[in-house]
Amino acid sequence: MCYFRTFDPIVPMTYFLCVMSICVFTANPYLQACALLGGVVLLLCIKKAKALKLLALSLAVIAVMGATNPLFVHRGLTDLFYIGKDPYTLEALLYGLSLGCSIASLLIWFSVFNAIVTQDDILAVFGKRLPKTALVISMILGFIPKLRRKYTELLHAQYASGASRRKSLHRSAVLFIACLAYEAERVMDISMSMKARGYGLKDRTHAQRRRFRKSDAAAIAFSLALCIVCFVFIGKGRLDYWYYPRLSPNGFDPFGVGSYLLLCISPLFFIVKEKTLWRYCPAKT
Amino acid sequence: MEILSCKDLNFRYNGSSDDTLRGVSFSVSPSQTVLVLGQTGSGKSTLLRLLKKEIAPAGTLSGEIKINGRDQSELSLLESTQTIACVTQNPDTQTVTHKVSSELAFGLESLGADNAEILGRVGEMAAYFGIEDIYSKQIDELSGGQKQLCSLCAAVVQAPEILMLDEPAAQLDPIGTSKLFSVLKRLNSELGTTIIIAEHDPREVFEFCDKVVVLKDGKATCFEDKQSFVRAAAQDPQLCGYIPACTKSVLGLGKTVFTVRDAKNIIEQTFAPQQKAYADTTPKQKEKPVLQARNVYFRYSKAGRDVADCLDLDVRKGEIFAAVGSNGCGKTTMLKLLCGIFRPWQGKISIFGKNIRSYKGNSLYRENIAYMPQDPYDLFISQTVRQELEKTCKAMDAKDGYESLCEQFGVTHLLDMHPFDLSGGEIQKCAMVKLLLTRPEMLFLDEPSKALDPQAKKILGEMLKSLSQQGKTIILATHDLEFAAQYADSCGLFFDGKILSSASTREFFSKNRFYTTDASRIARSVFPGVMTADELEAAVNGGDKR
Repeated sequence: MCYFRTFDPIVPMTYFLCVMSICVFTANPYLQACALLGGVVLLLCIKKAKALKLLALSLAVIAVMGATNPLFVHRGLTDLFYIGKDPYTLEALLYGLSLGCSIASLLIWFSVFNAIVTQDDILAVFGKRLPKTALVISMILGFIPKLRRKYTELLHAQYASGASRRKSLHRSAVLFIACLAYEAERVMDISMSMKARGYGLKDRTHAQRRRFRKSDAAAIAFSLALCIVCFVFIGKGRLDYWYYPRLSPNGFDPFGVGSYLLLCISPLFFIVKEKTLWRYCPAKT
Repeated sequence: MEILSCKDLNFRYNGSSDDTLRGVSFSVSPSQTVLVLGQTGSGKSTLLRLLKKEIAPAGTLSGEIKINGRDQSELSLLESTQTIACVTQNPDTQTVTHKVSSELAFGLESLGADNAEILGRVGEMAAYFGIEDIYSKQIDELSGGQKQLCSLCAAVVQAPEILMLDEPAAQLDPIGTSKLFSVLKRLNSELGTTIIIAEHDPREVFEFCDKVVVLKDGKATCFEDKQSFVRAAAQDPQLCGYIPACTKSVLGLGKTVFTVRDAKNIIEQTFAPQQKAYADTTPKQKEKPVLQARNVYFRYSKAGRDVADCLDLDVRKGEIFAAVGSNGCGKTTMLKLLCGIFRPWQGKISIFGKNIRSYKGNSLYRENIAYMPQDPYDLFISQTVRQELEKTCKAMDAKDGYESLCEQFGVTHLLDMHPFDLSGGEIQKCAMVKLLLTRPEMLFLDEPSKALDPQAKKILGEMLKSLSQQGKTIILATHDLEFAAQYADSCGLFFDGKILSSASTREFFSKNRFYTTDASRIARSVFPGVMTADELEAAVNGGDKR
């Protein structure tokens, strides 16, 4: 996924926000299909075989939601069969599947998001406007692995000096407090190091390793434009869809669904482009 | 004009009844390298921190500190930041952010430099010091030496005139130490940066330092050149430990040198090569092995590489075995494997003839073996040393208590202190008491001599010797070759996941060409078999001259 690296981190972040803001809230099966399709294709492109586990999980979520929803909800006019006195309806089944799709596409898109947007990207985006907040985030990110390592060290030291190996909440609590005490002690040194390097002077800046370019602006504009089109159609009610009492006959607006589909699969363009470029790249040989 | 001068410095910590510094005066000319020596607790760190007012400890200070002819208090934060930079002992506690790139930019960001300037200067510096390979890494992924190099660069990026370092190499292995000092040497010789450095093991600093300040009980003695320091230190048993082996070896001949090369030449010219190799007077009785490892494999994750790779090891009863090797080669992992904290995925480890897996529950760590982690503070999680020892006694159902052991190790006066308030040497002794309370027959020590001053090292070494005489087996992992040469009975090089060339200590150091002590390098052509500075000194004093 090198191509996302060529953009300013705010580009992928905006993109994911646009995609997810629609797929979370919609019950429209056409939009859900677009989101699912785009997400699955992207996930497979990025994680290859490693994506299969998540895809299996997503399928399971859809199946379970679909199968169980009609057990609790008996609305809908098309009865498939009866369980006891309660009808098991087609509409409830489809509604369950749709809910499942929402959750599945959310899982998949988050996984893609995690693979592409790193901690440092988030930091770079915030750092520009809020240098102090960025510093705090960066310090916390540096602090967590230190704390984790200390915990393991303390645990090993405890094992080997005769303490019990049995896991207990009490032991974890004691060790965790000891870790915190240890780190609190060390924080003094850190603050010294910060002061020694001029921390506290006003007008702190934040170094950016990458500059915002025109192509970044264009990419953001593209995502936002498609997203806004979708929202306009949703606002007009052209993309409304309902399941009860009977499945809605409308909800498929070619323009609205088309623009969301385009939004969801737009990264494919870059993936294909990257593959092609690399294929004919002189550096390869 | 002096770049820095102190006159009649007196300092007392808040709440303390004693002065930590008493009438300290010295001055530093531009581009000088000043070495500050002194035992733990002698006030080295206090002195260094006082020189930079932003990090000065809380207390009452009298006397004057002048920087570039101006009183320290007149300097603004901006000026001060651009004049003096500081690097301290523990690389883990100096890094503020989570990435090397942001760490290097931190200082310039504080000064409010704009983006282009920050990137330009950081890039220039990273290239100058050759740390491009770690530039994009997370701090957490770095080795200790790399972390320390990163904090040094982060301090230097602001182009300070004076660089202060407080035991910068205390936590590093020999290779990390050499890299760090070669960077310092370049800074001094190519940029003319003034360097003030406090060190316990000043071997590498001696080569390029101009001036030595010795702190003792808060008082400073200033030596204008290193030769006069060496002459004075030779008479003083407390300072003697600071003289590097190469200097010490030819001191008896009335010469003062600071490199192995010069010492070697002088000795080769002065003495005829001796036929008889220096040998141990009382070879140890061969006992049967109490620790045996056969074909041990270990890795941290399924896809990772084997950190222990077909490891074989035999250690006999009452032996002190030292596994030497550079940092990050897996010595700690090996110790943790041998003492049962990690389980190998293949192979067998037996302790006292019994498979380590067949020790049930805690029986292995009670009356059998004990493990001292690299950071002995890890053993103490209670508020005071006493509470910790009481807890151990309770766990062991010990009736006789800890008092006699504490007395034996001379730590009784430390019992009511918080473990974090103890010095490196003190916590080492308390940790030893805690471990001995479990009545172990075998002790595993990870880098026991790390961050200790020469005297504390000696005390530790004697302690280990006496424990081994009581029949206890000691296995230690260390990168301190001098320490291993002095106190271990046998040594092995840990490399590529296994112990290579395991032999008696003398054989080990005499055979190795690179991985050996300075004394052995100097002496091997003339006095074969000599491996410690003391032995070399004795050999020189009693040798036949040409």
